[in-house]
Amino acid sequence: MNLKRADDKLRIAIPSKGALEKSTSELLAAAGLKISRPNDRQYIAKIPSLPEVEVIFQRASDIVTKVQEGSVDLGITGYDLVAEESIGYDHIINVYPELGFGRCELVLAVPESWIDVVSMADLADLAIDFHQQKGRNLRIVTKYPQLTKNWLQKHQVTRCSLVDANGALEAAPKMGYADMIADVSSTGTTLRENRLRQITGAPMLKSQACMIANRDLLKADPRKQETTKVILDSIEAHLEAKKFTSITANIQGDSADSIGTKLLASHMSELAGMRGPTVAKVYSNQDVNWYAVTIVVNQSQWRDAVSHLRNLGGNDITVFAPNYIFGTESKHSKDLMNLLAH
Amino acid sequence: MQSPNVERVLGAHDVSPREYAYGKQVTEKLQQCFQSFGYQPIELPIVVQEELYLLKSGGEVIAKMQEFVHQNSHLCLRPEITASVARAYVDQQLNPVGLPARFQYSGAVFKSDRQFTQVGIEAIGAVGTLADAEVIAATCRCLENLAVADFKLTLSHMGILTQFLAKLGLEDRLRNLLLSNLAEMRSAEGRDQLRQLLSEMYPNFGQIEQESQLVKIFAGQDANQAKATILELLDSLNIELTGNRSEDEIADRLLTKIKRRDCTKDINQALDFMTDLCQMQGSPQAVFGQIQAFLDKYQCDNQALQELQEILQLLQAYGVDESKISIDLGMDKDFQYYTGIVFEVGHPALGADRTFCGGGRYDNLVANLGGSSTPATGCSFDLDLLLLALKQENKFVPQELPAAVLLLCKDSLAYGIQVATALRQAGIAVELNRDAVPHHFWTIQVGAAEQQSQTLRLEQNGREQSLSIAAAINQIQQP
Repeated sequence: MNLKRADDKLRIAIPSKGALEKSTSELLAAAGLKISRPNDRQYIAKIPSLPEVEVIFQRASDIVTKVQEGSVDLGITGYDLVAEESIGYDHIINVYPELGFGRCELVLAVPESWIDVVSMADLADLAIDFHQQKGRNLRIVTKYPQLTKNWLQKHQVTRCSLVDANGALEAAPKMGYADMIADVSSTGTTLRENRLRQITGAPMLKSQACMIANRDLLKADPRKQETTKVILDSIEAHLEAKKFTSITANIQGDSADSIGTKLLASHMSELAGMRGPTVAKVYSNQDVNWYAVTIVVNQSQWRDAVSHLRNLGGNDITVFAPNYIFGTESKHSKDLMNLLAH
Repeated sequence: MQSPNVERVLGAHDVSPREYAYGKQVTEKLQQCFQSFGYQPIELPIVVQEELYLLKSGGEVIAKMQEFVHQNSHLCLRPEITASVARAYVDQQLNPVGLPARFQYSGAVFKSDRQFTQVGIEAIGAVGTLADAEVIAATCRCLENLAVADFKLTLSHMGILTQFLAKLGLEDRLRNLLLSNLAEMRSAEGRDQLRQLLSEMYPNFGQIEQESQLVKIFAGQDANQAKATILELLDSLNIELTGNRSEDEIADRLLTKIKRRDCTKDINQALDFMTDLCQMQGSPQAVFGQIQAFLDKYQCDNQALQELQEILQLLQAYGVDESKISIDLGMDKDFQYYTGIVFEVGHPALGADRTFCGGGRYDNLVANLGGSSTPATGCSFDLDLLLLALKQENKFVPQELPAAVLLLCKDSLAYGIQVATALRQAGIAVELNRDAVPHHFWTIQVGAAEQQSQTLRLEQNGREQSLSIAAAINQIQQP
């Protein structure tokens, strides 16, 4: 029996529902890797622009396990789940740590009425009080037992029991099967609605969506490495492009050099483009001295850049959002090769 | 389907016969040396109650333990053995004739994800620097017996810092946190990390101090009045009481908390003290030259200094090479039970961060575990790291035990077994094989002719002799 998968496709698992699903599909589409899914109930899909890839829709919470087992090569999911579930598996590597969506924080939260518990030090005291006065441990309900345990230990909180979560964690303190919770929160609304308050201080973990890979599977197959690099490079070029705006303008002047010097010389030189302006002659029948200037600036600065160009006599100013910006090499592809070298 | 490989657990390792023989002989050298100082071997369970380390022996090690729940008991694989010895002593399992009682042990311990072997000693009920010096001298004697030339002995004294923290009156948790992070104070990076951790635990830490209005309000009230006020406040804020704590509990703890003074100032003093303390490192002369001024600056007494000086004199009497000794008052320990003299022994092969031996005085551990107040001191070797250093120095060569492979012929099976039995009784390991196998021992061949003459053919490195059984035993046993 041939144990190899028939097609040797690179398989990537992505979240099958919720906000993560939508954002992941949008990101891949924007990176030129639009997913073609015949209908919503099918959980296998294709990327027409990259036929050697198969997309598998999975629950976000199962994706780390799928990568760990090797039933998929790559996975996109929340870093919170990766941090929790990849402990002890060094063949799970984080190949794109910051995909820029799905941001949340892992926090400890207590009932609002516990006005005496504000800091980690208070919590450490309270846990000991619980043990002495009630004869039992403080119970924390969480889907993140490893991260929570490490955090509590680091902050000298002993005498805590972690309770496994079924369904909505936030209701546990009210229902009485736990005293407090450790869970992810993006806006804090759910916590507030359930009359819970976050412990003051840094969160246990800051998370956003990331892409992970099974190192052993990629190592064993150079073609999969190449396909992975194409995916990383496309996402990187797209996310990079989102940071910048491209502007062109026509400016009258004596020569290309004099316009270039003017753009660079002023105190607004950071508005003269990433690597300085490109200036090219415009061939026109009427006026003789028109030059086209192209600059690429930080997204947040495009209005300033337009003013800057106007001040120098700019006309016909067009502003574009670039789709991709490629450097000489992809940082994430390079990082991937380093991770695979270990 | 192909079944997946079952790999060994991360951090644990398999030991080959060759490595085992090497480790065993080193262990025996250590055990014999400890025995010569009167330390009696004991053996204790590898699985212990997690409780043993939660509050009692505590410290950084809690985060490094491999713990699990078995039949509702919270257990862990022991991260070290000292606390177990103290526990067994309190449990009256060790039955010493009197005090001080000297014990030695050897066994597996589990820390972070690593499994390794500890070989160590504990002197329970041993008072004073004489006992501390004995433990350190026994360690150095072990290393001499193993011909380790390049070791480095570092001494310190926990009393200097614990005394200062006690004077500040810091709560236990804070005190423990600071104690276990002493060495962090050496670098700017470490100091920042500790400050970060402190500010995560105490949100007010590092902010400008101002007298709390709440403290003022409640200062004038007695306990009942204060509690009534808080309950009224809770009520008026319309905070719904959900969860598993009553109004009373919340009010009580809030009052306790309000009355506790802000400790930012104390923490800062402690951090300054620790930063200075960390600078006290170098040769004994160099440290003794500057330590007095340091102790005077912070108004500490001289006890720790005196003890260190006594230890050095005693070690001189034991013949420990003074050039190998240095003092580092910034040394911190994974375990919080240390109270007095502490020491570590390192080796260039291990780098600056690892040591193959460490120990010291722990006068409160027995009492903390429920026994009567009993001072104690001890130390342990990390056998794996010791072996690493030994291999680097390449000095300790394990003795090869006499061994032979006996090749059987079909026509002389009984005689072959008879020869093997005779050799085994003489203490020679004998393997019986039908065919020649690659090995590095003696080879013995017997056939009908040998049976006839009650002899055997003995071969090594291509040289073959015909010998009587007795002569062959002699030949093999010759070193």
